[in-house]
Amino acid sequence: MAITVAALLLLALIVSAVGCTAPEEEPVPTPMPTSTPISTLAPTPMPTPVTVSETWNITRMLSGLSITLTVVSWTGDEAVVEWQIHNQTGQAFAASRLYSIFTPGTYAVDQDGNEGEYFIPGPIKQDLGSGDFRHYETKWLFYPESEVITIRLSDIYPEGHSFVDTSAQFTFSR
Amino acid sequence: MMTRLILLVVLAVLIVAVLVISLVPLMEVSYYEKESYVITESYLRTETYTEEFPIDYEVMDTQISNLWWKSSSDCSVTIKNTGVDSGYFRIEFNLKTLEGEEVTKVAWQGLEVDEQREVIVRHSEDYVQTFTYAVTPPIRAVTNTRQVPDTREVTKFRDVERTDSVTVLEYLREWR
Repeated sequence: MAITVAALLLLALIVSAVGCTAPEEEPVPTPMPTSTPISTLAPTPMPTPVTVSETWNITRMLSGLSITLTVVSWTGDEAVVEWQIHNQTGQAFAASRLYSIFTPGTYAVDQDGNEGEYFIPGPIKQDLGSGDFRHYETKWLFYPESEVITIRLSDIYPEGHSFVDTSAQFTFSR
Repeated sequence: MMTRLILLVVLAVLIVAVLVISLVPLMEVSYYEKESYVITESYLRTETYTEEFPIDYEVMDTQISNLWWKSSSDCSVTIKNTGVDSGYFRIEFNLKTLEGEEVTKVAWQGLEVDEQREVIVRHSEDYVQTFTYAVTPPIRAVTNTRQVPDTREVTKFRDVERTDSVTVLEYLREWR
């Protein structure tokens, strides 16, 4: 009986020892270079310039042209001035003469007499037919203290043996 | 009786031997294990930056035109954009009139690449004796990249030798 028990015990021990599964090998992590995140500076928020537009209806006659200052759009100290030009001369108005009214015949000053910096507008290539309208834009850079702006448009044209120098003024506030 | 006793003793010795072989950690074994460590290494970081270049231009001509029918002058600077980008050129005219008055006028002229234009400002009420000018060209921004030295922390792994005690049975099965 004792021999049987001992033999069984021995057998059980051998079986348990042999049957033990080998310890599982822990997975070895693959070496991965880990980089520290690079800190990036957030750009300083810049105030977006706001454009404020104001509608005007200032009409002046110049050499038979009815010129109306319609809209002034301020972006900071920049002013874009929109014009409506109506040819009431009864004949075509030459493109070069019309352009010279705006360049170099334009002069804009503020209430202190400081002249604005003028952005030369795009050329006028087509004559303005009799009774026709034309939309045009001009732009100036004024000063922070500029509140009241006066724009003078001038036209010089020959008449007989002399030249006529005429002008029209448009005044608006900021 | 004697035979049985001997048999029991042998059996007992066998049992003890098996127990010792399978349960008692008698064998010293060494093995390698991966161990992580962190180092700070130098490297070249790619950085973007913006360079600003003034657009090239040429002043082709300057002129003063006096209007004969009134005291007034047109001053002009003919400028050509010789750069590779378009933009607004700022031309500052510093006029000196016949009466010695100094007047500053500024005009901005937009020019396409290779475009040439005559920029005219008019001074009324007096003739202009002479004038100087200063052109401020537009700026072209170019984004480039460059390598700048920097440091970063990198996790690496190395083999480290470890020792352990195992049973004879384990040693025979796994380490031999």
